[in-house]
Amino acid sequence: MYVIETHGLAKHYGAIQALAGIDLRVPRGTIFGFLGPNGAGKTTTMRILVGLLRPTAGRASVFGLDMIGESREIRRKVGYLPGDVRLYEWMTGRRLLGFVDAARGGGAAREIDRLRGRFDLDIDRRIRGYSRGMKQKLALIASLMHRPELLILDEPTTALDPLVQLTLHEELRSAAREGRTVLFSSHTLGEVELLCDHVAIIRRGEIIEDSTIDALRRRAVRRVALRLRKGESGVLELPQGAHPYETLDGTVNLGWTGPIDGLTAWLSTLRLEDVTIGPPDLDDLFAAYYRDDVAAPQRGGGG
Amino acid sequence: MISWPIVKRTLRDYALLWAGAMLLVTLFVVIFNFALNSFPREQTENWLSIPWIRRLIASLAGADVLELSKPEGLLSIAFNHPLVWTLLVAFTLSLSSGVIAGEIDRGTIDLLMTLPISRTAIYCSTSLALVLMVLPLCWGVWLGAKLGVTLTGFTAARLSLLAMVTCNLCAAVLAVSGLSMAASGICNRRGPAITWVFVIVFYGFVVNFLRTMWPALEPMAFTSFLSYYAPLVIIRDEAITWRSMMILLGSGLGFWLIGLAIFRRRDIPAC
Repeated sequence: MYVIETHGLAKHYGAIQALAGIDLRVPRGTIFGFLGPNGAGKTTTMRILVGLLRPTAGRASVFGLDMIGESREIRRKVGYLPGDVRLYEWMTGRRLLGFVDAARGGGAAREIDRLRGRFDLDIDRRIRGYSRGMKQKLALIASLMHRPELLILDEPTTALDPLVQLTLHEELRSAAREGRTVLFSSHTLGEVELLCDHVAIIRRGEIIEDSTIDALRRRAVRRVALRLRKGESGVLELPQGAHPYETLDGTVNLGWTGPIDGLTAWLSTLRLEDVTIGPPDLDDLFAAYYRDDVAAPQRGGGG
Repeated sequence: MISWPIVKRTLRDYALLWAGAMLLVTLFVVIFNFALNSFPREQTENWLSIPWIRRLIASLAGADVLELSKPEGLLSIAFNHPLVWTLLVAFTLSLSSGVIAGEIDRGTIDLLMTLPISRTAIYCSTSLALVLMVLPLCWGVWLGAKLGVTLTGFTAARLSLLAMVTCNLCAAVLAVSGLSMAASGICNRRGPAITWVFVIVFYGFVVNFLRTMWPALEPMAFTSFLSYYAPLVIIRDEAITWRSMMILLGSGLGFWLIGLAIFRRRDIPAC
């Protein structure tokens, strides 16, 4: 069951194409990372999903509800954090949360109190006096406090210190364990890798990758450094999946793509003095997607 | 259709500004009463017999003040005074542009529009808060007149006639409110929303003011909302001019509906 489904979703601003007809499916109960460089179309997609923008073409549904015709019902089940948080500066944090709670029908007082404690935020001060990070925390509480079935978070860790980021990650994992769904955008690979089950990569308004993190890892390159025992010589016969980089001071550095079993089987045939196998490195994979001048890697299965 | 949290929030946010405007309007009309009574009646009538002053008053109030022998005639000038209109229009613009165009401008609309409240409810709730605040402000002019009459002992003036004028004032301010809500619902920035309404209101003042001195402008008079706001005519006839009231309320409603239709369909850009 998909919580979010879009079909050919497009958005044009005059001659400028922000989204070029994207198809996106977000499964229920997952933490779904939405990756892309600045201006790729992440925010536009999210703003369409919460009804702030109208698509030029295509359609989108959330919980099976039509995004335009049933937008109000969708928003009842969604918590949204915009990329650039702006709040009513003249209010106190408590008054703002009280207003949001009242507009949502009330009943979130206990959750507000719990989240306020989790994020360690003084909500009795005027927002005008808050730092950027405090405003971000308050906006996060406002989007989480009604325990929404779907969280749409646009770069939620911006301005948060590392400890608060960890708290947020715990909250999001907890939401996913309860069967709730999280769609969050980022341009930080590490965060997505740490947190997400699924990932979609968007570039120039097009989805260029839609996969599970595990499937991506299988396609990612591991760095392997091996040193042969003294006396061992000759040219190494590299199996399929190995990419030689360089040999330096007797250490052979190579990359490995594919199942780890193949690598260990090959290594067992060698007389090794030392070997180091690194984790799958998604950086190279993502960098290739981001670079304009490099063709995107061939899409794999999964997700 | 109505979101009470939005109505309550808007009323609370603008309460201080409203109280200040109410105090100023009422106080000004009280002082105006004292000023009128500080001059001998004959001297005032002599001034009003000067042709250009007669034309000036007629252009503002919609009828020749010398046609009136009623004490309410002079008092009704307060209902046309530029200061009163400036306060009323400034408050109307401040609230209407502050909640929709202003929220888009500040970026706070994202918070508001991702709540389970329809766009229609946001627009209607803001409009209701505006009406709940602006109508008492109009009646603040009448309250000032009542206080002034009581304090100066100028009891010959019939407040019921001034109440009719206040009804006409309410209709004119509602027309401006409808226009300003439309501008707020259409614009992305507060500045342009205020500018558009200000230009149209200013045009109304200029056409209405100049047409009595420059007859060539008379055919354009119907385009000025102030042509349908004529306190002296109400006092002369001792009756509300329902046609003018309907035109004012109808045009205000028309603008308001256009604003609603566009706001329901428009994109809300990121700030």
